[in-house]
Amino acid sequence: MPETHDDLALNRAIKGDREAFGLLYEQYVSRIYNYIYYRIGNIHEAEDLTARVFFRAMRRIADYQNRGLPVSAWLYRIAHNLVANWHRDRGRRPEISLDDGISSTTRPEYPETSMLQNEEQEALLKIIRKLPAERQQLLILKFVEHLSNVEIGQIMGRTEGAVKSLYHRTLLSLRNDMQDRLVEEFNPPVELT
Amino acid sequence: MNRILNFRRKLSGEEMMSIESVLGAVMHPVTPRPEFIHSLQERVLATSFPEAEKIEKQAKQNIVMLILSLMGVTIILGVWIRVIVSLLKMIGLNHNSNRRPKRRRIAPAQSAA
Repeated sequence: MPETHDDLALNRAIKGDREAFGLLYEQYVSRIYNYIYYRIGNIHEAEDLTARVFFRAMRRIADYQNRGLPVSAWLYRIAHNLVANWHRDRGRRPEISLDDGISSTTRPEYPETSMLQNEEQEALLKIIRKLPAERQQLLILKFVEHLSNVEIGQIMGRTEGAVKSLYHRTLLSLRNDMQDRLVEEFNPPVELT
Repeated sequence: MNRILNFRRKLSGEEMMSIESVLGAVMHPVTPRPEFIHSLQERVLATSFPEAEKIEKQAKQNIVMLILSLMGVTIILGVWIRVIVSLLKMIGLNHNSNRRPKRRRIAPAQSAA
């Protein structure tokens, strides 16, 4: 397998080349930030965890063992573990705020329509964050990073077929959760007096 | 109820595309703050590189091992020297005891005289 730019940079970084590590940082910082942001839904926490990912990568790069996987798989693994620790430490799944995320990146022409859209987006993101971690990771890699099933498989340590299967089950689960939400909206629980 | 009815219903191609389009609209890349990117890069690259730390740590370990080895060799040599000296002393004592002069017996004629 021919060596990619990432592999070259990684090999140099393992030998202590600071500049090479800088290249890897520039290449992946936004992707890791996006992954963490969509997993936890908070800008400040996402920044904090992204920083921790790269400090941890820096500390451990000398012990890195190349198993033929892309560098991104290693970085996503670190991010995945840190996010899991974060959820475990807090014991909760925080919600994304309207002022604190995706909605702030678009400037709407019609604020009322936009508010409705934002509410729907927020509701959908809530549903996504209730999915198991690996399904969230799959959706982020597919829709935010636009990676192919093969690339996702390399990162998640699964075959292409397993990724396809997981993707299908994830969409099925999402559809059911979205339908449940619609049912709840149109049939609010009646208070018995 | 709706959930129960749909529980075993497969996902149609149309539904799949519909969910995918919703996900595509909601999930899109977000851009981290440039200040954050730059300050983090500076902080990460300013930390001492683990390779250098590792070499330094290895060197320290080597020095400690060398000192411990020297101490061990010294102790073992000391013990051996003491053992050898003790053995030599024991051999010397035995040798001396074997070479101790026998009492001279006084001849009867002499005593009579």
